[in-house]
Amino acid sequence: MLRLCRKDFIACRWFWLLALVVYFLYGVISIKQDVAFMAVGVALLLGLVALTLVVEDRYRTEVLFCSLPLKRSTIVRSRYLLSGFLVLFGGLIVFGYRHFLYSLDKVKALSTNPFLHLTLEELLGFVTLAAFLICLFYPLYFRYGLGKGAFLFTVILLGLLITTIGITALLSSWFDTGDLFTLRSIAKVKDLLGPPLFLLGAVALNLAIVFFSIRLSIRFYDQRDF
Amino acid sequence: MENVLEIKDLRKDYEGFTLRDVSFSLPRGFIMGLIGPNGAGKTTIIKLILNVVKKSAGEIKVFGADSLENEVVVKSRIGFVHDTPFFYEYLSLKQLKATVAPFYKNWDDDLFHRLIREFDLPLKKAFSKLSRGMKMKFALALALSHRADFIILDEPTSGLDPVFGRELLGRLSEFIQDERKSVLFSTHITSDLERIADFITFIDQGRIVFSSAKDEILEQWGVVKGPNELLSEDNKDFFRGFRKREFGFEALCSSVSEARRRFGQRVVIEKPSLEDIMFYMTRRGKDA
Repeated sequence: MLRLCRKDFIACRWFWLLALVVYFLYGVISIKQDVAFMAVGVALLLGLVALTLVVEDRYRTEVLFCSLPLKRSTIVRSRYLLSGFLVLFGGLIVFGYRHFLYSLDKVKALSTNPFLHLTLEELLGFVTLAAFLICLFYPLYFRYGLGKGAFLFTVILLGLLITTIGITALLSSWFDTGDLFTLRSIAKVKDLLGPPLFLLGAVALNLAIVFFSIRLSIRFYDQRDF
Repeated sequence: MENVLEIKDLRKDYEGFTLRDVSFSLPRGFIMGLIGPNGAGKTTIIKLILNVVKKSAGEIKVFGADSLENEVVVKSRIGFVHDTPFFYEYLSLKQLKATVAPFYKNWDDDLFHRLIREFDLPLKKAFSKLSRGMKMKFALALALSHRADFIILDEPTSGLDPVFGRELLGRLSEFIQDERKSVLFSTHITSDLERIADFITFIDQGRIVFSSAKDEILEQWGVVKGPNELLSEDNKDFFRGFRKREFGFEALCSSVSEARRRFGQRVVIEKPSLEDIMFYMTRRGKDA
């Protein structure tokens, strides 16, 4: 699997670097809003993953790598592993960059951000969101390919977003729980469970999502023709 | 004789095309040519062997082992050249080698560099900047550099100049010299195969028409030329394909001895080329 990740690194490193440059520019703009900054950060991670897939799709290298002495399941797992690396790397970039921006007094003055330092809930929220989106996208990608997969992913994501907003609005009007899907709600759950249990729960949730997504992707990819 | 490749009752269903009842085998140490018109199913068979497309039914054994159950072991002994090279085209040849070589335990870097020198390929140049001939040479260098026992090539000479075509065929002949290695070579340029193939498998419209030793085919089959009055319905059925002209007919038969018995001195029988066979067989039953 690491050999496949290395192959992606060789093939995509300059595209990733370009994405980082774009991110650094947009990161400054979004620094005033914590949620916006996080969303741009997640977009960076998705962008890094998407670039890898776009390049592969453009040159149809799946045919080459499916012809090599590799199992399809290995190819799928390596994609998740690479995404894990990119989330880790992207996460470090995002939070490191924010830390750097906050160290500049002029930028700090602009921010309305209540979390001036990295918090556990913020980190978990970031990783969980990125993992969820990647794990939702990959089965569609491995089943339908990049174009159709990305289209279905967008449709499903929009559906989920509309449903979530609807449910939040409904619950807010009934129970006055407007924070249900925000970082504050994650903090509330953390306070309720205590940090160790909360961390354990979050890791377990992430692993379950990843595990289920990998199983589904392997099953789909095993049936694909190139 | 030990078979390097055995295909039995292979089937692949596509919308509008079905590859069916495909069965043939290739003994170790020989070159097999897979011929047929465009769209006959040659590339599909090769992709099925490499598990790039999934079979609907049937069995593929490579080196005596099921190609799916032992996919990694089997493929590590296969070298392949696809009809279109699927590489990251903006990478240099050196970088491309670095993306492929780690997947082969038997990768021989010295051999790779030797082939690169012999093929006169610029390692630092981007793949996209190469001519089609050079691209195919690079794909061949990759296919040969892990000391594969079985090479599969899909239309490698298509669109290439005859000089490179000859060079490639020479390489393949060298490759099987130790009598342990084998080649499956799909093409519609039949003159390539007349030079080097030991076996010919002919496929048309998703079905195997025949799979035999080349010399056997060229000795037993013949192109019959004679007057049109000999073209009775019975004789038409005897021929594998025919072409009727104003001053006589030309037809392909699969038994020269039977043709001589039937027609005696009233016809001329010539040795067919593979192109003749492909031409008549793809137009069987029609007045070509």
